Amino acid sequence: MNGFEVAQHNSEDGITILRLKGFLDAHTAGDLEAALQKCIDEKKFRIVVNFEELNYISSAGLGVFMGFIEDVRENGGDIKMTSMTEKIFHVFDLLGFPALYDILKTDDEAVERFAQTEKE
Amino acid sequence: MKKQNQKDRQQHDRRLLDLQSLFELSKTLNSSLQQDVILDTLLFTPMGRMMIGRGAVLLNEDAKTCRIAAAKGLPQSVREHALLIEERFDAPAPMPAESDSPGLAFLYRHGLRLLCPIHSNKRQIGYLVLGEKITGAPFSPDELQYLEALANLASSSLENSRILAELRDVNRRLDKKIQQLNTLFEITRELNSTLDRDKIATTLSYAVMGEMMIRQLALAVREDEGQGELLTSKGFGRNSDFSFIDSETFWCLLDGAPQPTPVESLADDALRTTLSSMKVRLLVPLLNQEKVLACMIVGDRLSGTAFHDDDLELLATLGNSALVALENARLFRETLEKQRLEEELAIARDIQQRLLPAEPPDISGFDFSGLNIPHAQVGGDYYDFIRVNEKELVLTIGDVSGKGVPASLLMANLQASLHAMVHAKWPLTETVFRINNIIHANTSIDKFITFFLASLNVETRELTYVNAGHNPPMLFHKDGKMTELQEGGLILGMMSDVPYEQGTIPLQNGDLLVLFTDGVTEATNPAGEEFTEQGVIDVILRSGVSSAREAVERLRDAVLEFSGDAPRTDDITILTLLVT
Repeated sequence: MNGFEVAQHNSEDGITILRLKGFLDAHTAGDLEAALQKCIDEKKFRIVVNFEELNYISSAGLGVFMGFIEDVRENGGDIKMTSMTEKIFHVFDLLGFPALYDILKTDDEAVERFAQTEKE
Repeated sequence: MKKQNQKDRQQHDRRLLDLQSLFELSKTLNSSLQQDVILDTLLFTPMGRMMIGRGAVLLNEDAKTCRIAAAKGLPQSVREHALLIEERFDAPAPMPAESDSPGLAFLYRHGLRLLCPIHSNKRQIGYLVLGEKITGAPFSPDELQYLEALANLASSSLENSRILAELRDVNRRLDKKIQQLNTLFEITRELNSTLDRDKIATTLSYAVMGEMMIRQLALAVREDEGQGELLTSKGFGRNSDFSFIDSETFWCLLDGAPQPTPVESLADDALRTTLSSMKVRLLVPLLNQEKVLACMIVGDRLSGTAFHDDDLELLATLGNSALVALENARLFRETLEKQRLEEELAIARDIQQRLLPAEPPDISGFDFSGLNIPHAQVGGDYYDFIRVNEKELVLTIGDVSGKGVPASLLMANLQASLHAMVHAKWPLTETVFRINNIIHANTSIDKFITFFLASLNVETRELTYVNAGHNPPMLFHKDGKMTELQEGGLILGMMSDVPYEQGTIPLQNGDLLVLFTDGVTEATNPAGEEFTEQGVIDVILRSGVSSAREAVERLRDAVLEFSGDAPRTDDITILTLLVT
């Protein structure tokens, strides 16, 4: 069985960074769901998801993001995605995610983007 | 002469420059497969060379319609504009000021004055259109020739880039299909590996939501009588009201149109309004053997795009594989439940067998035997021998109305009551009176027990008995005569505080007492006839038995032989006492 891990890290500016590692598929989607649910429960709506160490993602993994985006955005937050490998980005791109999600190169860029929206 | 030479030379130089520029252009064009780069090169080269302020490249969508693929010196809003051009041009030509083609009129209005068709393999693939030179000078024949050459050079590059773009598009669609297949493969594998209904529902939801960028998704399964159960709901607000799944109307509506149905086309006004307010866009009924067993409630796509036929197909495919998994889980649960029940019944049977005597009592001068064949795992028949003291033995037989577990519970209740009371030294009538009150208090009116209780004094050889509505035991005498033991009263459990009478009968050497339940007398043969009391009498009188056990076995064999292949429907219990 291929493992999956989510590490949560709270930055100083109230942004939550989730680092994904391993294989995100139907089998492990529940772990990501729990991590995102925890953010919502703790009213942390500004979320950055870092994909640097994620080796695989399936539609079910992407589905988890769909299940939370509405809630997060309604609360003035967002889920921004960073550091995707080409392979991972390809899946997001195929399913049309780049048009609707901020997909950025680095966590800093994502944090910056949050700061910008804050100003506006 | 010198002047003429100079002029020739100038012209040569310019032609050389033209050729050089064409050569460079062809290098640029051939080194790029990106349409934008090719278009830019195609426009900027002549614009710079001839000092032209504006230009555009049109690409043919079909024979007469073109799209503005690139524009310079023009408002960017003209890009992607579709133009209808009826005329055909084989060579560069001035833009007509007046034209029936709206496309040409549009171009003229935007200050474009020259039209160079671009051909590839004799097929027109587009136009290079240019404005006036800033100098206002007309295009010379050399320049027109140059532009024609330019257009021809660009054509094959454009064609290549178009093919490449198409190829990319095909590849992308292929990748998307592969992604869908992966999803299908993954979800099937995942679904097959679990029997947990919540897990199945969640797996389905996330796969579908990710695959199609759907914001909300819920899965409801159909229960009996128009009820529904919501297995999962993702992305819907916490206060969303799904009570509509608890209506016969909802499920009947799906029965009537068992395919993915857009909410706006629902005939039921109330349902349509409810679903629309929840942002539900689609109902996808899931079928097993042509029966709607569940429904996916599908919300908006984040992209806002509509669901196409292949989306609906994928939804139905994914949904139905989840339904199969749910069905498997249900069957598995039912099987487990059945197994558990059977195990419990086996234990209950074991317990009940222990409530019956393991061995007949060993008392000199008397020979006892007993037999119980339950029809189901557990039953409602009871018989017992209870040694009260040196000189007294209690024997009993009873039959609880009904069958199976309920009857067996009451039988256990009877057994316990009797065992508690026999040592109290009450008269038999008192014991039966009290047991009747207990049974009456413990049961509804339709539950009752036929019961026979006797006390044998082993010294005086006197049998005292109370018959509470049981098939009268038969006492066969040596001379072939038979006495039925009838004294007693009402069956147990019908009324409280009913008085009972007792009978007393002395036993003689050679007397055979036969007690049985109605499983013996009411056993039927394949023709539907009953064994009857007479059947019992015939067996006993005919056989001339020499032991209690032999009497039991003869009677049992006779009943079983009589029944033949006819289904047995009741417990069979036989108890015998031979006075020796």
